Amino acid sequence: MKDDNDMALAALLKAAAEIDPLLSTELLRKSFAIQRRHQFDRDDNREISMQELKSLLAATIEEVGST
Amino acid sequence: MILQTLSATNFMPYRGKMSISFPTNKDRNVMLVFGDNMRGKTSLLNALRWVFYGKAIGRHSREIALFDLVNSEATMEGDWSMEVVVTFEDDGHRYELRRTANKRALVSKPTRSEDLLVERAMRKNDIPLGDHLIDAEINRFAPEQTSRFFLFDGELLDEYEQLLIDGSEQSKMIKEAIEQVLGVPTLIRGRDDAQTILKAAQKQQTADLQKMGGFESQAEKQRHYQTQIESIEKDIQGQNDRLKEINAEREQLDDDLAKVESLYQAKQKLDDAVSERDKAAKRQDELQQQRLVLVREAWKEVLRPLLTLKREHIQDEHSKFTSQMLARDKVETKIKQLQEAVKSETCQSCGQPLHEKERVAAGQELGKLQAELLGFKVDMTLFSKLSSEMQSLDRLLKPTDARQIAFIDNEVNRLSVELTKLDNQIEDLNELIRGQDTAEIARKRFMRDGLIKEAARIAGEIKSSQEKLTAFRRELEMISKILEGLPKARAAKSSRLVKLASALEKVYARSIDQLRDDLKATVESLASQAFRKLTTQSQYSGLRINSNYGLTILDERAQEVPIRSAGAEQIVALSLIDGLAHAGRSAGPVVMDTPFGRLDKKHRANILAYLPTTTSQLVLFVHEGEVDKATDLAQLKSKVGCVYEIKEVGLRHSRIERINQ
Repeated sequence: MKDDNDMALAALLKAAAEIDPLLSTELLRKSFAIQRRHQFDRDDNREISMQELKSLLAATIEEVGST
Repeated sequence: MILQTLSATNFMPYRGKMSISFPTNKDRNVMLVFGDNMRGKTSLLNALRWVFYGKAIGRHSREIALFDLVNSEATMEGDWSMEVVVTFEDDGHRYELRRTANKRALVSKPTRSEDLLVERAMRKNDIPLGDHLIDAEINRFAPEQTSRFFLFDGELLDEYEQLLIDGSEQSKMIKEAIEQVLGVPTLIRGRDDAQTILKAAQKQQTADLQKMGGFESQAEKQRHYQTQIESIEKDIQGQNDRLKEINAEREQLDDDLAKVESLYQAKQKLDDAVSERDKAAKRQDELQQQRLVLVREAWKEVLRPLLTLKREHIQDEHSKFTSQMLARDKVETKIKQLQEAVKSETCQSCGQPLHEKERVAAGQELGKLQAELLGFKVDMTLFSKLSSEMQSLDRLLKPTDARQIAFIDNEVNRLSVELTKLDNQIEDLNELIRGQDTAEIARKRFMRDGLIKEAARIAGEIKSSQEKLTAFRRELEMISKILEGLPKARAAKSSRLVKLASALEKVYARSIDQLRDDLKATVESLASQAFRKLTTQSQYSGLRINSNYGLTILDERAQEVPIRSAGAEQIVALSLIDGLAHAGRSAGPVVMDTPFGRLDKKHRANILAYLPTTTSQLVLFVHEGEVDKATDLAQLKSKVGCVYEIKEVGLRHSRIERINQ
């Protein structure tokens, strides 16, 4: 009974291609993986995915800054 | 996932231990559990729900209290231990999930759910897992949010019809559940997380700008809009919480009122019966009064035959007198004419002179008539007396309403019978509602109506708050754009995070709409495929989906079919569920409770032929009215892995037996 969210990822990538083609596909895929992993978390664990995403964004900024 | 076994102890009607094994041969993946109503079919579905998610669902989708799950025959004997264990395989791993309930240490006799302690344990490949890992494991193969599509209650099929009604509470709820199974929450959570990060980054950006100098005005504006947005978001949160409370309260009232609906109807009937009885009693009084007046004159009726005879007699006498008087008047007139003719010698009719011969004849005639006149003897005193008597009798014989008495008596008798009936009915109805507070029911009805209005008012407020929120967010975005054009501001780390989080939030927001559109097209196509397999109506070409995932049947010209039967509803609902199952996840087990309620034989046969091909295991809890053991079972024989039957031991005790090997 595994969720097959490929349609969701495809929709995300398609939306990015339409409105912000410069946004990194890798960032999108990684952020999607975080949300997919936590999609059925209880509300009291809501913070976890947000913190993971925040770290991902911070790492992306660092990476871009360092290059 | 492949289900292997389910065992339960003291769970609902299953006193002691019961156990079933699911079919694991993929070519014979159908399991049938027969059971009459009220024997424990839904309890088996609830055993699965309880072991996985710690809850059991009753009528109207309400959660059943833990206290009521423990077998009442066992609790009467002081045994408060309950347990459900399910074993299954997923992705090459073996799992055992166990949930137990027992009375708490210091409780001697539990009286409420809180007196029971629930514990759970999971083993993966025989190794115990920590409690904090269990939810994550369950969410991998059977998340609760999507459970309605694989632990499937036939009673809830009606709910899918609600998807065609835009804006209904139920349709929102089902739409949410559908989107859960289809993965929309992944994107919604992504958008929300990006938004939360963005807000924090914007605040940091404001603080950084103030420190830099030269950006005070932008920082001030940014802070102003951030404060406004926070305040509106808090308002919206409060309004949404209030709306939820109101809707929950209204649902509770709906349920309460549904339970006492028969009572409310009885009260209405009682009020009608009392009103009818009052009317009948009033009419009876009026008739009694009318009768008294009639009885006062009724003695005349007793004498009527005699008086009628007497009057006829007098009438005869009177008529004789009248005839005599008329005859005498005639003779007198003739005598007068003849006397005039003899005296004037002229004919009184033509005025011609009378000849002697004619004059003599007139004399003779005159004499004859004068003699005849002497024969008329009219006693005027007697005549007056007769006239007077006749007048008296006429007064007495004047028609009266006395004959109405019989009619009134009949009517009074009829009303007496009716009053007795109404009195009995009133007594029965009073008995039915005795001890029930009908004023409380009326209060709840009005309260429910008031809550519906309040919910609509709050929904309006939320809409207006959201419009304000959008406007303020737009202002913030404008400031961000201005700052992006300024190299010093742009270089700040917080500004880069604002830019990135903002871009991510926009992409996630757009992707939600994109996914919904894609899913609708996919679900429509998959549900249409299933529908064409399941329907017996060859003219139906498929289904059309609406924005709520509600499906409408299309005819051979692709025109919507506006009216559909209850059976067609069920087929459409099953097609939707099949479509969702294929759009949202890989084929897994599907457990269905009483799914064929409204379907005819042909539709049942189509479903029984089709569903085993689209699921890893198909478990059907049915009664014999749905699946015929003799005919349907014979057709399914090659696909059936095992058959069980639920048998009644007592009112609170059922047991389950395997009836095939």
